[in-house]
Amino acid sequence: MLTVAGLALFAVPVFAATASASEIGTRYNPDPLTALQTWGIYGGAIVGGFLVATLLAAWSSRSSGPVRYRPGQPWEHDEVWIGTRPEEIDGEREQKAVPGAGGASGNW
Amino acid sequence: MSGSRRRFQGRAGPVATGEVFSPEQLDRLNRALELAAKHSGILFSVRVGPVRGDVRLAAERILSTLVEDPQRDPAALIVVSPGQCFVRVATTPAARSRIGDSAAALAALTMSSSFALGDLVGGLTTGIRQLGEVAGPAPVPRGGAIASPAAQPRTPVR
Repeated sequence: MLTVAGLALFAVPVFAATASASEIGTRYNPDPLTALQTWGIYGGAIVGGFLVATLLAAWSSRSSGPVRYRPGQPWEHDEVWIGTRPEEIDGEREQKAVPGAGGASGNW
Repeated sequence: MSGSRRRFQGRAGPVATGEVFSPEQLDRLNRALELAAKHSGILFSVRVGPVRGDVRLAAERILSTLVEDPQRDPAALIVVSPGQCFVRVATTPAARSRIGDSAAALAALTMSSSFALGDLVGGLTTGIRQLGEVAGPAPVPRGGAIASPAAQPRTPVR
């Protein structure tokens, strides 16, 4: 959606400027384009489109809220607790081994 | 959300570079925890972050601080270290009788499958739900209300 809006924002002024150009010759004998103009239109449109899309992608990824976890990359965040955390419990409890505790581990 | 910037006092840790979970994701996780606790009467807790030393021992030591008497109070702790790529499900002896090691291993496998795809929230919610369902409904003691720590009101962490 943002990409389409950005492309439209880029394309509309270019098309409007082109359409409003008065010195374009006649219908049967149009003025020839210079090499610079040709490259500007056909090359610039493509490069500009990619540039706008890249800028939009970079902007949207930077402005998004939570970080996206990517397996294999280092995790540089403090610990996060969900549910009861030890600090919330009244009275400090000593950390100790729990005989008979169960559980399992997994890796990825 | 300031959860990712909280830390234990006196413990050194890496500096947070951004929020780990959005408020919506935290709501989903808290809801899953509350549902599982309500259904099973077991206190569930999740810790996401790096662990030093022996993972199993560290998880048990943290678990011992969550309940008053681990032999009597059922509780389960899920420790996830995304940087070290492991998940540990620890259960107190009281919870182990209802969530066996094989069921915990299955939940750990389910979670690690999602984590491998980068889906931390999805893996955790599925794992919590799975553990809650395996535990079954909370046993009601004769002539009284449920006395498990999970039945006590608690403030959700934000």
